[in-house]
Amino acid sequence: MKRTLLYNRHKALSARFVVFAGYEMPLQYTGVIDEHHAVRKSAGIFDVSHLSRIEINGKDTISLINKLITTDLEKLKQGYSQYTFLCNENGGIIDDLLVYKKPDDSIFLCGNAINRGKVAAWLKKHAVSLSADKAGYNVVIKDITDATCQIAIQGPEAQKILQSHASTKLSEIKKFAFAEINFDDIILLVSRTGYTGEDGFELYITASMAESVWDRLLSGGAAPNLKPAGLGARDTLRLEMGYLLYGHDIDQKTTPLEAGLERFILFEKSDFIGKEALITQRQNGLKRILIGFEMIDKGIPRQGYRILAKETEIGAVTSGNMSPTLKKGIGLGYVDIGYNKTGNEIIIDIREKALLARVVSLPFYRKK
Amino acid sequence: MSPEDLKYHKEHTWAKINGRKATIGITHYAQESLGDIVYLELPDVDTEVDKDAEIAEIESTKATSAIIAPVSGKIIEVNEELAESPEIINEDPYEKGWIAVIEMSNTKEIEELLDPKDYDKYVEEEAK
Repeated sequence: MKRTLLYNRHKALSARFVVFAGYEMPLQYTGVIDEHHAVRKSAGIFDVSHLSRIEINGKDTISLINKLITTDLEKLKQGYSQYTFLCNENGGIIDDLLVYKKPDDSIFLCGNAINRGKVAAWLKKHAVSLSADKAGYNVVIKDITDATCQIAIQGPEAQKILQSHASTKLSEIKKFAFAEINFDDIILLVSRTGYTGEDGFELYITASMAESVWDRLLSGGAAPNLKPAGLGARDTLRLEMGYLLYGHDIDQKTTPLEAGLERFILFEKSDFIGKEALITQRQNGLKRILIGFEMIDKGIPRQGYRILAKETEIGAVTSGNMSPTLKKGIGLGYVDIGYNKTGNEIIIDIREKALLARVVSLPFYRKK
Repeated sequence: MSPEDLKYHKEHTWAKINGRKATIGITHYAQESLGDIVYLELPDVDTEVDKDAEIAEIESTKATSAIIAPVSGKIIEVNEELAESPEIINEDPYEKGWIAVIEMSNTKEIEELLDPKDYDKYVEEEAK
């Protein structure tokens, strides 16, 4: 079992733990709903060190990565990140991740913990196979996950709290941008990104500084508005935003098109792995597509529950929970094309009870 | 730790016996392990239930779990307040968070339930 560098801090906060992607991670501290609301109303601090962090350097970095992801790195400004997919030849999703383009054109990838080994192997394989040169692309691929810690600070108060430690002006870091900041005399990489739908930052910290940064954030003057939040709240927050979770809503058998995320596929870009399959799928038309739905009847949808139209099975739930903000059951799932129209009523088979739900547009939750 | 006046089932339910009637609920240990309770599928009044069998489904932000009847009999009352505010179970599992009242068909079953001291010991073992 792996533990993050902040394990002892979670333990001291009496966290309840859960095993996630081989890591013993904090599930909750005071309670999922409490932590969820804290992030929506003030701010929460998450240890997300389990996420994979891979650095790619070398003169061929951009050309290699651009052949592997569905968005266009040439169009991404230095100092910015974007959400993207790594797909296999069939268009199936190997990982969904954030790609960061550094000022020196080196690349930093942050993806799902469970896909870490798979992604690193995929990059290394194609650094050789895609290159015209027998020696392969001139790139150095380095997994820095274990050498670093990643903390997310999320919520309307996040900037103010982080600013109280930073000499860099954080308001100048735009959404999806990243920069090195001076945090109480520690140099950190910070991005204005997250997985909660709130404003917020993710901090990338050298291992030796991990506990110090965590402690400073939780003991500073603004700390009363900052609550440690676990994977439980992270899941309900992302679900309210309709953000997908790898291994549940997407995997190697689903494509970004089926996941309803065509906007992250740059078809006009030159070749990338999976492009042909995705073009074919788009031409032939999708057979199924991801929907968001909310329960009309009382009940909570969970992964694996069947979705029906009258008596006919039309799909299955991939994520579901009760939305702490909307106070009703919400879920994501795939349905056969034709049943995916917003407003369409569907049945969720919850333990052999046919409960009524309605297809809604994503996100479930929109900030006022 | 657990209230003195109650009897306990190993599946973490409690029963408060009053003649042939048993008020039932889940224990503090159960609500704490479940985390935030967000939904409870209450049983219907007049349903016959068997000891050790599932009587209701309870949902937390984490998962779905079954509530096991500590005694057999007929459900004569359910706590309707839980339909709107299931979090009451987290807040007060032994009083306001009661789930149902069962009219027992066999009061001898009470003898099979655990005393508070034994239940606490059992939980301690299970938590190890």
